[in-house]
Amino acid sequence: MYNTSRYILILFTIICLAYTMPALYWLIFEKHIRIPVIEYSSVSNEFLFIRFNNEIPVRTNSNGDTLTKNKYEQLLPLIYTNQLIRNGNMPDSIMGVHTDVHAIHFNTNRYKYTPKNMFVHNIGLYPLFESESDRVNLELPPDFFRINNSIEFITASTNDINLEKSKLFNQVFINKGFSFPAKIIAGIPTTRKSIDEGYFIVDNTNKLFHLKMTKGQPYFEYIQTPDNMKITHIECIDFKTREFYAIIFDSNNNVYVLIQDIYSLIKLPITDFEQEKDELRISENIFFKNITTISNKELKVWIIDDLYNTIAFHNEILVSKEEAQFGKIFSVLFPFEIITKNASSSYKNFKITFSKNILIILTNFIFTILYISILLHKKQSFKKNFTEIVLVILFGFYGFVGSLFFPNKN
Amino acid sequence: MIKSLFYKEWLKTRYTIICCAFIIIASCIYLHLSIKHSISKNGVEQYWFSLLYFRFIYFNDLKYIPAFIGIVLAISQYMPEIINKKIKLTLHLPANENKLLMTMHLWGTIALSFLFSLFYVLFIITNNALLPVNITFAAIENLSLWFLSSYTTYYLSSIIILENNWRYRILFICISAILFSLFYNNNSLGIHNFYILKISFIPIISILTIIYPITRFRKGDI
Repeated sequence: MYNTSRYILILFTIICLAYTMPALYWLIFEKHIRIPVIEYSSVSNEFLFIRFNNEIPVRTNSNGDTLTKNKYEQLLPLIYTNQLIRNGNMPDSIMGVHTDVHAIHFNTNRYKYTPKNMFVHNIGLYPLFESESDRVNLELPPDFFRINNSIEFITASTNDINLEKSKLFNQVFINKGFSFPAKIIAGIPTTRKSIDEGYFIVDNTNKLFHLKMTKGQPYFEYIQTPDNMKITHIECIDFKTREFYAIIFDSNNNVYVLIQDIYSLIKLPITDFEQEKDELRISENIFFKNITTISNKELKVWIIDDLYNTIAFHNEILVSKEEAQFGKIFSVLFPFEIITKNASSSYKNFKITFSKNILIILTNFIFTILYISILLHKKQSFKKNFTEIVLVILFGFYGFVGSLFFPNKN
Repeated sequence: MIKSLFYKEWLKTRYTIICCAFIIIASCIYLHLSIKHSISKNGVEQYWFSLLYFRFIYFNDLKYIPAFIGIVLAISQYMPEIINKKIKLTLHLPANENKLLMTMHLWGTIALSFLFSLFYVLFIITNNALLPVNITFAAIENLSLWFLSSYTTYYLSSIIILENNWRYRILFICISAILFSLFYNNNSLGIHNFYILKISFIPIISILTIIYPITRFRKGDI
């Protein structure tokens, strides 16, 4: 029992070191790896780049020619509109269309998806706004709904179920063939959005529905999806252009946009996208859409037209944290790290990430030799310290410190 | 023997347990009043909305109460044992030394479980009066993690108290502080259940850590 107790304390030391030492290392040595900015010029119809050389931005065009900041901004009048107007450099027309600042601003929208949006704790209560109220601004409803074996509206002031409203909505759900409970409920639950489009709900049989409340009455529509499509995540969008309701991800990592009013699904022409790891950025302007996917290793940009056809494509290899100098040193020093916060998830997690560098074996070997030398110096038996030696071989620095702190004195 | 030992532990900890029970009751009354005050100030819909989407922990003021209870219980139970090294008397009882230590820890674990059962019941009653079940469930996840931290602080505080060697005592304090931080690194309402399950091994195995300082004490290895 004594040794069990001692090994538990060694294990706690290893956990504490694997939790704190890597965090300390990253805090001191990690350098921010800046991702290049890639935009598509509506003036020269080419990709323009801002790459960072020792934190200094270097602007180039697709031929590799260096551009001044002014020239770069002039080639992107749909992004630097206000600056160009201030400088008096705004062109009268772009791609043969007369420049209308109001139209440029109206048609310029940006959206960013990160895996954190998918892995977020959901409490399961949603406000259903009135979509056709006579008010200019949206107002919070007096009740919140949840969907378990039926849809229930809970009145906040009394904390009781609003039976009448629940029955009304429940009947519509049953009439439309909704199978309880809901797998996904996606909407924009804020009064700050420009207009309310309700919620998109995936039922237990993977059917997609659209729920809204108009003039106090339920609006509930079934949305046809491709056969065998299994929706994994829905991101509702509030673009001023009202072109599509939402971005929909399926189990095959395909990404669709759900077109407003006609409920048609259009697949985006992106490839090698992993929704659980990669970032997706969609920006649109008056002429085209820019779809960017950012993974750990690669950045890809597709420029698509209004019919969702690809006009241009560019991909750029990125240096990951693990491949950078400080990342390589880290993987040689530490056999593993314990992390509770993940950049790609909002969930807290107790995750152990092992070093993938083969040189870690050498580091662990050095610590093992050091530990054996200490045992020899103290004239202690190898046989009695066999477990400690194994701990140092496996856990390197962590095992070494743990075994020194709680030595076997039997 | 176990009954007598439990009676001895009860005599040592009874006032602490009663005080802790009062602290829990007072905390839950305070929480109820605090929620009511926030609702009257901001409006009930806005309050619910902020809990659901800003995810702030509305009972954050109670955050360290479980850990405090764990530490106070460990002090009340084990501090009398080290004064004049009275633990020697316990170790000389005609029973297995480890069994005696585990029985003492079992008493503490039962006392903590009783106090947290009271905390759960009062917390759920307080919540359900004003908030929907969904929010209560999410809150219970946060609360459960804090309760786990309390068991950990109780077991690790006991070894800090019983340890004779200051070098080891400082080491135990450092280990306890780092392990403790694993239970308090969440700042939003609700936690993924897997995190609670994964981290629950820490309080479970820390029960046995008490044997290390006591065995060394008995052997005179200080």
